Amino acid sequence: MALIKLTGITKSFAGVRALQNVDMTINEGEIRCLAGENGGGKSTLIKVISGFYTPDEGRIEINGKEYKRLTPQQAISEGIQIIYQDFSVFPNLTVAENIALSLERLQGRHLVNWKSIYKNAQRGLDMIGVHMDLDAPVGSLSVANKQLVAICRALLQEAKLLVMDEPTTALTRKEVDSLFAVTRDLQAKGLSILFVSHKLEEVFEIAEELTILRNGRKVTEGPMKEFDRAKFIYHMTGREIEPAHFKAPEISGEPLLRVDNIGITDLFENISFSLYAGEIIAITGLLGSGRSELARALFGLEKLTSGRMFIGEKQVRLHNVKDAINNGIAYVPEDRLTEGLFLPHTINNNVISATIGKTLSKWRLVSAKKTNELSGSWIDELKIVTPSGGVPVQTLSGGNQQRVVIAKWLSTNPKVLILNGPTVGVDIGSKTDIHSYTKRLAKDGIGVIIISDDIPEVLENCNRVLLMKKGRIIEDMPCAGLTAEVLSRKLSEEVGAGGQGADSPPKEETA
Amino acid sequence: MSIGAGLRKFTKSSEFYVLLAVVLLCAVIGMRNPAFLTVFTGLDLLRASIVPGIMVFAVMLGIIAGGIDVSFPAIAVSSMFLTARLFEYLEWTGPVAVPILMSVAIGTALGTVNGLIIAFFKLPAFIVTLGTSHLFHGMLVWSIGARPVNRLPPTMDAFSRAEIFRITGETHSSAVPVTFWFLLGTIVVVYFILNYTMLGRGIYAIGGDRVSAERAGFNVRGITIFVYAFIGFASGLAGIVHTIQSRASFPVELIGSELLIIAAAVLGGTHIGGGKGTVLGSILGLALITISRNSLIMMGIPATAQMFVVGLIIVAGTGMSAYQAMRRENKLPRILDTAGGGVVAGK
Repeated sequence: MALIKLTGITKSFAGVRALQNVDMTINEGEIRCLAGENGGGKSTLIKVISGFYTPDEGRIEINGKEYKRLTPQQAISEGIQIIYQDFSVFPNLTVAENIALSLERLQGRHLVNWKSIYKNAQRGLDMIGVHMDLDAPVGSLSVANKQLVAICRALLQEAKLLVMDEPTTALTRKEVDSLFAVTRDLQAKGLSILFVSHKLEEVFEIAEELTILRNGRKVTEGPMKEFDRAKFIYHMTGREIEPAHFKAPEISGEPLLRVDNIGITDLFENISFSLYAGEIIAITGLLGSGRSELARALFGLEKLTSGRMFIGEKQVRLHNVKDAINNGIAYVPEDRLTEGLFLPHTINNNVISATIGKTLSKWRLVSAKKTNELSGSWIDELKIVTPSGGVPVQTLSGGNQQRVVIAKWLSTNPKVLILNGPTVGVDIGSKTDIHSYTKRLAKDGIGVIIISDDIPEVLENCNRVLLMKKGRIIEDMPCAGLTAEVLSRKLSEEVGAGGQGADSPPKEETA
Repeated sequence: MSIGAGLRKFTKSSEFYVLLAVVLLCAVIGMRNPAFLTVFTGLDLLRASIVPGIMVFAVMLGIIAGGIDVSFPAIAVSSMFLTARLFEYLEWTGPVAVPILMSVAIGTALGTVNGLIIAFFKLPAFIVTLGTSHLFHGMLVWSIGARPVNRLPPTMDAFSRAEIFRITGETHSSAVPVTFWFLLGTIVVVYFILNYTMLGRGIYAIGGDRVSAERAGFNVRGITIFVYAFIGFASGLAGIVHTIQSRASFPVELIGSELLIIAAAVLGGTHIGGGKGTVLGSILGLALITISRNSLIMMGIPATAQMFVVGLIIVAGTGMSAYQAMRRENKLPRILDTAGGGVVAGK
């Protein structure tokens, strides 16, 4: 039976059609995936369902009741709950309060009944069968646990439809698995789930029904089994994308970068590898394997406590980012929003921020003309979609934002480019562009290190992959001949347990 | 929770460090001058903390909600001076409650103005109150002049002499004035609001994450207006209590005390970015500031050096808690498993 039925939903903002004549039905107890690239209309559709936006045209029917103007309060009382991408939890309040406070509010209470808060919070946790310290401040929890808190809160408010907006963005593979287990369990209890995502692998894993939006229109829908990868990507992007493998270059001469037994106390140790001109190597490992700490250390953001690092023949010691830049190293960070961009500032200012020296006039003042020229050339080069370089970066889509970060670092003329999660939260079209551009850079003689656990990304773009676990590199293998299945298995295997397939077994600790 | 576990939890809280600082300061002053450690000093300090105290707890409410109000001394002085002038002119002989209510009403009105501007234009409280602070105080001086009120109505004067109790020794005699009930009342009301009402949890929620609070259905606008109206209310009260205590009213008093009051709240562990703060912490912060303001002289620190020492205590105190928070947050989780130890996830 249909839980919610949308017919002919149209919504415009300042003349731009965000949604155009969209139909969608979610039945009781089904897991539907809403897929589409950034800017495709997914967020707008969620906000229509949750009552935050009133559509210009179209009908909303929930539990057989038609709503002319659905308010957020009505949506909640009909059992529609959104798990936002940022979870919307209160970091300063306890687990118990985060879970149960909304329910108390819903019941119209003015005074706080601590007993019932604890009782209800426990009931919420029991619904998904997890244990948590009710008194812990939510700010101290892992991302996955914050999400579970948000889910418990939604369930307590008698959710019938759980809308999960990009729920796996910040989760490790293991956490994704347990999220999916919880999701299926809730489905078995009769809940409907709308799973909003653009991650192909996950959509195939969890969804039963699929709706794809592109440019505000529904382009296709149907049971998941009618789709395969190619068809999915075609509908998402509107173009055919052929996976192109990266060919290993001729390795010659000195390596651009060589590290010898480097380590940082408690974080990683015994890391040795060389990067030659024209190579793209991947450092892969799960979240918490030390991959990001290693990347940060290569860029001078963390200090090495052991080992040696060479740029060409010269041994270097990086005390800070400036040292790294001077040695021709550039780093595109993991989280562009907090580490890579000045969001309210213009594209121009962001692009020149690592190379302000190049834009100075003879009076040593920043020249607007030089800034425009420099930034403009990168906007063309990286095909950043924008009316001008004077647009604030926060108004761009994820893919275009990432291009700005890349432009900023390429303008330092690096010899070694470190890309940490270069396509996280980036739509498939931009992803393809970023990949092909990276390969071109390698062809021009730059050495690239990609830090990623996106298996197809690693296999299609790199000639070598270093597998990292618990702070050590446990395997260094060529990508040629490696299949996604094998790499995926190696990635999720426990260190030491079995260890089959590992050429160099992990060093045993002497207890 | 057992008593032991509760105690252990307390030693990890920020309040514990403030308590330690208060005890340490008392011990140091007491060592230099044993006269400090008497009940008389205690009562005198209690008396000195009434006016700043009423304001500290209101301001703390604002900081928890994520806004720093700096207009409260201007509101306090406006409410009290306007009231004192009016009742002087009326040659009032009626009950003292009327001028007190008048001052509180003026304060609440001015605070509501702050709240409306902050809530509807979504402006930072600091900027808005920086402006209204001058607006309120300027309007006061401009419209009714700066001639002080030297004689209070007789009923107010009598009220200023009313005491809850007095202790008389051989050389000293100290009392707790009736106005202390106002401080106690403010503390109880703020404690109740923060811990036992949805409004109070809403104040924490807004300070923790404003957007989430909106999504969770809290009336963010209403709560914001309440918070600043309440600060106005408490400022009106603190103002009239100040006038009663000094038995005169000057239009330039209290102005300039705002940063010390905010410092008391922050020293007590109130997070300047919002979302965190407790009544107990602010009581301790208030004690720290009151003791250092009033008792350094007993330690033989000359009056000229006092401001310096108070500044030192504030910088050291706030620096300590900031350092602690930094250590907690900057610790990278351990990845390598070393001998014997299990994998420890970072907190």
